[in-house]
Amino acid sequence: MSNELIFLLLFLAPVVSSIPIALAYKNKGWTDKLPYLSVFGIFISVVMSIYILVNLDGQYTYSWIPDLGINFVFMIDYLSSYMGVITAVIAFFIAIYGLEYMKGDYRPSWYWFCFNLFTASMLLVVYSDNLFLLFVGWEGLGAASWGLIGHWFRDDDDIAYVGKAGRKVGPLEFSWPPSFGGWRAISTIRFGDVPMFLAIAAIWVFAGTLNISEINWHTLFITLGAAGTIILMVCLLMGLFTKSAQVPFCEWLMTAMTGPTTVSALLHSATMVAAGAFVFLKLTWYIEPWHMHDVPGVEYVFIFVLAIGLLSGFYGALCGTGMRERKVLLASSTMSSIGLMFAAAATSYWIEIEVAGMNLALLVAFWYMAIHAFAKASLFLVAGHLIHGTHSRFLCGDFEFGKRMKTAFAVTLIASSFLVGIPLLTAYWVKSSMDVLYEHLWHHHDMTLPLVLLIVISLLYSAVLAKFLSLNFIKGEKPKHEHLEGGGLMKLGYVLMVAMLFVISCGIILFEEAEHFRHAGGEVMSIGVGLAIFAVFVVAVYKPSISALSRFGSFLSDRMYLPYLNDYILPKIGFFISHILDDYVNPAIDGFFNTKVIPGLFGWTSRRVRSIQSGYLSRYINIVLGLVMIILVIVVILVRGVWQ
Amino acid sequence: MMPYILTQTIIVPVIAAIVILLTRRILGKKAGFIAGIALLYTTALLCIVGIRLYQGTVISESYLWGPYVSFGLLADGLSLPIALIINIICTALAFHSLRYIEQRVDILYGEEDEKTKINYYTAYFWLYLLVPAAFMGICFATNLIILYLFIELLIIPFYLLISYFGYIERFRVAVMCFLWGIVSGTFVLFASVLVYSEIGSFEISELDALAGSPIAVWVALLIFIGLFIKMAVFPLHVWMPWVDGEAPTCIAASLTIYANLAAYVIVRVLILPLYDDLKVFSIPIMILALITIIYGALLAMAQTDVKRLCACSTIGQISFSVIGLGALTIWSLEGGLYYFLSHILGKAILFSTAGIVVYVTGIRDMAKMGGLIHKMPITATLWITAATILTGVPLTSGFTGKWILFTGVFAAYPGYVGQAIAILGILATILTAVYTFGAAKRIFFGPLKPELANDTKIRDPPLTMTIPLLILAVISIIIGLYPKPILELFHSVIGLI
Repeated sequence: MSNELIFLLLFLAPVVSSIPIALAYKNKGWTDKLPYLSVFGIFISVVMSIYILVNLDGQYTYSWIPDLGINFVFMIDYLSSYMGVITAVIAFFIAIYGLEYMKGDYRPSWYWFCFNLFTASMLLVVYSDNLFLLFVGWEGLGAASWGLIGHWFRDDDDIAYVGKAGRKVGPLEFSWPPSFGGWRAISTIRFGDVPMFLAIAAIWVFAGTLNISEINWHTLFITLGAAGTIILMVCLLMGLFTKSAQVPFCEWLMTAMTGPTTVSALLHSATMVAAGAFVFLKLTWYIEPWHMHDVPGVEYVFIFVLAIGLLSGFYGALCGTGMRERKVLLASSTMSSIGLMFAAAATSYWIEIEVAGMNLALLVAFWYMAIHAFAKASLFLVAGHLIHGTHSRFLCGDFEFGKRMKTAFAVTLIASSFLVGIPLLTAYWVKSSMDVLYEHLWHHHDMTLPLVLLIVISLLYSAVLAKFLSLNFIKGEKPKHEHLEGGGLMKLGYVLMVAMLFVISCGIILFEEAEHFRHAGGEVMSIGVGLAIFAVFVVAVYKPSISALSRFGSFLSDRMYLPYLNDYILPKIGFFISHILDDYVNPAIDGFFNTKVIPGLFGWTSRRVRSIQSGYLSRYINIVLGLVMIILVIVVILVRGVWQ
Repeated sequence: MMPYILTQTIIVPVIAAIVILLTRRILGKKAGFIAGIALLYTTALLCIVGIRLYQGTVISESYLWGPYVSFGLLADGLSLPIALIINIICTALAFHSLRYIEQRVDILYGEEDEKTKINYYTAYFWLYLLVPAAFMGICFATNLIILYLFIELLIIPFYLLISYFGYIERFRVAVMCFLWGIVSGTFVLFASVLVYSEIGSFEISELDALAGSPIAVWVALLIFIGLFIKMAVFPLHVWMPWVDGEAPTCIAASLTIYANLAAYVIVRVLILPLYDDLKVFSIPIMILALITIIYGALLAMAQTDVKRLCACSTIGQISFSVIGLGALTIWSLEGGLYYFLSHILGKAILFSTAGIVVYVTGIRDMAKMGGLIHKMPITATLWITAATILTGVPLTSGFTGKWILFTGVFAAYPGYVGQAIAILGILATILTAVYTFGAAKRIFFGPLKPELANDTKIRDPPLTMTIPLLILAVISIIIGLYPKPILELFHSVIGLI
C-alpha cells in the first residue's frame, strides 16, 4: 500500500464515512443504521495509525502551495507515531460506546459528522510537521468542538446544563446551557488561535519554512532577540493555553460539559485539551531548549510555561475538591493534569537527562499524557453511564448502587487509582520521574516552589478522584432514579478503555525508554509521595466531603468566581465600547456627513438662494443695493491700496 | 475564437435587460430565469477567457469612442479572476432572488393589481442585470473615463433597486446611496482630468508617465478619497450601515462587491503604475484600515438587527483588503485582492442567509429569534459557513486570504509600526468571530421561541434560494484549498512591480 494512500485513509476515512449520515439527516431509518459506518471509518484510522507506528518513520512531503511554504508534510517520530495510535484507539472505543449512548438522540447526523471530524482533525494535528497544516487540524478541532459542545442546542433538558438552574451569584446566573457552552468554547479558543496564527505567520516570514522539524529555532530566536522571542512564543502559547484550558482560559472547559459525555471523554483524553499540551511537547522536542541557554529570552518563556502549568494544576485540583457535578469535577481534574504536562515539558529547559536518546522531561510529559488519556476517558465514559443510570449529573450513588453497577465501579476504581500515582500502579512510575525532574530543579537551580506545588497538586488530585469514586459508588446519596438496563456497548467501551492502562503498564516494564521510570519508582522521595497520595486517596474515599468546609467548597465549586471574567467583565467591557460607538460616536459622524451638518449646509444654502427669488421688488432692490455697497467697499479698499 | 468575448460579458446582460423590459408582460415570472441564464452565459464566457489566459494569452478589445477616448477592455491575470468570481456571485444571486423578490413584491405592492406586480418583479431583474454588466466594465476597463463611467452607471440601478425593493426608509436610503456614489465618483473624475492635463491621455497603461511627478501624489490622494468613500473606510463609512442594511439582501451583497471592487481599482490605476509614489501613503492607509476594522467590528457587535449586523460587518471586512494594499508588498497586494474575493463570497452567503431568515420569519431583530436550526438546518449551515469564511477558519478562502495577506503585511515593515499594525490587524479578527458566531448563537441556537415553534411556515426556503449559496460556499472552499491558479494569475501582473 502506498504511503499517500495510508495518509489519505488515516485522515479522510473518518470524515468520508460520516458524510452519508450527515446527508441522511432527515431519514430516521438511515440515521439509526449509519453510525456503524462512521465507527468503521474511525476503525480504518486505527488500523492506519498502527500501520504507521510499525512501518513508517521520518518525514513525508506532498506538495500543496510550495510558494507559501504550505505543503502536506507529515512527521513520523516517537511522539506522533504513539500519539496517533492513542488518539485513534480512544476515539474508536468512545465511538463504540457512543453507538448506544447516542441512540435515540435528536441530532445523530450532526453528532457523528462532528465527532468524526474531531477525530480526523486531531490526527492531522498529531502527524503534521507543517505548521500551516497543523493549524488546519487545530481549527478543525475548534469548529468540531463547537458543534459537539452545543450539540443539545435546544437547551430544553436540565441534564445537559452545567451549574444549578436559576442559581445566581451576584448579578450573574451560575448556570450554563449547551448553546452557551458551545459559544463559550469557540469564542475562548478563537481568542488564542488568532495570536497563534500570527506567530505561525511570523515564523514563516523570519524562518523561511513552516516545517517544525526544519526550522532552525536557534537562529530564529537569535534573529528575533529576547523581546521578539518572548512575543512570538507567547503568541504561540496563547493558542495552546486556550485550547488546553489553562488559567485563565479554563472556563470554557467547565461549560463544555454541556455536550454529550462521549464528547467530553474525547475532548479530555486525546483531543482538544490534550492537543495544546501535545503541540507544546512537539515544538519543545524540536526546539531543544536544553541547548538554548545562550539564547536570550528562551528561559523566560519556559519559566512562564512552568508557572502557568503549575498554577493551572493547582487551581484545577483545588476547585475539583469542591465540585459536586460529575463531569465538571472530572473537567477540573483534567485541567490540573494538563497543567502538569505543560509544566513537565517546560522543565526540559533545565533538564538534560537523556533516556534512549530522548529528553527525560518530554518523555515524562508524554507518558503521563498517554496514561491520563485512557484513564480520564474511562472515567468520563463511566460518568456518562452514571448520568444515564441515575438521571442526574450530580454526584450520587451509595454502596448498594455501586454493587448494582459493578463494572462501572470497578472501572472507576482502576482508572482513578491508576491515574493518581498510588505506588506500583501505572501513573506512579511516571509521576516518580516527574518528582525527579522537580527535585533536579530544586537541587541544581534553586527552584523549590515547583516541587512543593507538584506534591500539593498530586495530593489534591488524589482527593478529587477519590471523591468521585466514593460519592458515586460508596458514600454518595441514594440515587432518586435508577435506570440500570442496557449499557452493553457502553460497558464494552469503558472496559476496553481501562484495559489499555494495563497495556501501558506492560510498556513501563518492557520499554527501554521507561527505564528511568522504573528506577525513579524506587527513590525514597517517590515512595514517600506515593504513599502520601495513597493515604489521601483512602481518607478521601472514607470521608469524601467535609460539611464544616461547605462554604469554602461552594467557593471552589464556583471556580473561585472566575466565570465573572468570562461572562461579565470581558463581555461588559466589549459591549460597553461597542454600544458607545453605536449610540454616540457613529450617530455623531452620521450626523456630520449624512443627516445634519453637511446636508444642513446644503439645505441652508439652498434656502438662501431660493429666498432671493421671492418676487417682491423691495427684496431685489435690497439685494442690488447690498451688492453695490459691497462693490463700493471693495473699490475703496483697492483704491486705497493702490494709493499707498 | 469567439468574437468580442469581453464585450459580450457587458453587452449580453444589457441586452437581456432590454429584452426583459420590453417583453415583461409575456415573460412574467420567467424574467428571473432569463436573467440567470444570461449571467450563466457570461460566466461561461469568462471561463473560456480564463482558460485562454492560463494558456498565456492576454485578451484585449478596443473600439474608438471619440477623439480622446477609446473604449478598451482588457482581461489579464488581475482582472479576470476578479471578474469571474464576481460574475459567479451575481449569477448565484440572480437565482437566489427568484423567490426572494417575489415575496418582497408581495409585501411592498401586495395591494396593487397583478400587472403592476409583474412590472415590479421584472423591473427587479432588468435593473439587476445592469449591475454585473457595470461590474464587468469596471474590471476590464483600460482607461480612466470608461472606468469612471461604469462606476457612475452602477449607481443608477442601485438607486432604483433600493427605492423599489428596499426596507425601512428606502427612498431616503436610495438617495443616500446615489449621493455618496456621485461624490466618490466625482473625486475619481477630478483625478482623471488631472491625469489628462498632465500626460494627455486617459489610458491606464500610460499612467506610469506620471511616476515621480508631484501631480502623482495629488492624483493618488483624490482617487484614494473617492474610493475610500466606496470602501466605507472610517470616517467615510456612514452610508454603509444605511444602504447595505436597508437594501434588499441580494442587492446588499452586490453593494458589498461594489464597495470592495474599489480595492481592485486602486491596484489597477494607482499601485501598478505609481508604486513608488504611493509609499508615502502606506502607513496612514494601514492605520486608517486598522481603525476601520476594529470600528466596524465593534459596530457589528452592537447590532440586534440581523441586516444591520451584516452591513456593519462589511465596513470592517473591506478594510482587511485595504491593509494589504497599504502594505505595498507583492504578497500583501495579492493577499488583499484574494481576501476581497473571499469576502464577497462569504458576504454574499451571509447577507443572503440573513435575507432568508427575514424572508421566512419576517423578523429582523435577533433578540426575537433563537433555536431556528431545528426548523432551518440548511439555512443555519449556510450562516455558519459564511461565518467560517469571514472569520478565516482553515480550508475556507478566508483563511488562505488572511494567511497570504498578513504574511505580506508582516514582511512589509521590519520596524515596530508596521509590525504592530499587522499584529493588531490579526488580533482584530477575533472580533469577527465574536459577532458572526455570536449572531449564529442568537439566531439558530438555544430554545426555539414559542411563537416561532408554532409557526408552520418556518422552514428552510425553496432550493432555488439555498443551492446557489451552497455553490458559493463550495467555491470558497475550493479556492481556499487550492488558491494556486488565482494566485498565479494575480502574480502574473502584480509580480511585475
